[in-house]
Amino acid sequence: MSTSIIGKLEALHPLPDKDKKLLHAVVGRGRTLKSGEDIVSEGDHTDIVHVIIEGHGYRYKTLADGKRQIIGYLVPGDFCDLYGFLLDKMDHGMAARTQCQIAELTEEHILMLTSRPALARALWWSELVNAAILREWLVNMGRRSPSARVAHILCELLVRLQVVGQATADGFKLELSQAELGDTVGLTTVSVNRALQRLRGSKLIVQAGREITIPDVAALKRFAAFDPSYLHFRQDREDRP
Amino acid sequence: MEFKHVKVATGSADEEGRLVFHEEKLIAVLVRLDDAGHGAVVGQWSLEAGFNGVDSTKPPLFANLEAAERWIGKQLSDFIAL
Repeated sequence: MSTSIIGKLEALHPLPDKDKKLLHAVVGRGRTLKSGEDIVSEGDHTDIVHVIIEGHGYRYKTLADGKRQIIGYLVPGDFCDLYGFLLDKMDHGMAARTQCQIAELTEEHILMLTSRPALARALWWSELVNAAILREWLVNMGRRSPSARVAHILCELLVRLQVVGQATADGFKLELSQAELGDTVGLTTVSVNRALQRLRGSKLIVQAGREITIPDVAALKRFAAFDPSYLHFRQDREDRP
Repeated sequence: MEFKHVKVATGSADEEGRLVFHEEKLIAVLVRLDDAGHGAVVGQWSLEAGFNGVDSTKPPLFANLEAAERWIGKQLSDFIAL
């Protein structure tokens, strides 16, 4: 059950077998959440650290007028709220987009994990990456054209899902509606629809229902000005001269 | 409010548009969703641009131009009330 979590952390920092065994023991089978359920609601306190074992989710904030902004995607292997137990109240909500299997760890578990140097470094990395993704999304939303914004999100999902074995070399299942994509990149559903149409029209993506295929991954990355270095995966760090 | 026919280049089959004038100034651009890709909302009107209080990050779609006019009117009066 801990495969995705080990996959994600090892993509950031190598882990000795002993650390993987500890992680496996701590993660357990997890709890099942139905699609649409909150993992943690905005404003709630949580003593539990949630980790996605299976399924997809997102972080979000809701405005007073009911509009929603999605501020992060949660994919298998992601820690939702690593140090959330420090906060009196969560400053944003997290919801299951699909049915999810969620590991629930305690502060004691986290102390146990972070007392091991490799695991501590891997967890630090994962928090650095969360912040880096947020910075990249800010730039994406503020400074890219609608079709490049959507393309950038697709490139990021491809890479993030690949490290946990949920995407092939050139495709994945997009677990998001057009409205959710719009709430992610600050566009209306109409604009997202046209952006996807443009990407399909220029053969940058092929879409069959929720299945996204990217015939020329380098071309889509170029179009979106996507540089995976902000995800800090070892593979990209080590490929660099 | 005055509505003038216009063709809008959206890169899709959504071309049929209206320039909306209020007190002889352009206040909004509406486009009818004619592209089959929009699915259930085909035929509704979308706010493509709005000015001076008619701008919205998440405008609703309008079943017809009367509904659009009512919404634009409300945005204008809410804006003036600020």
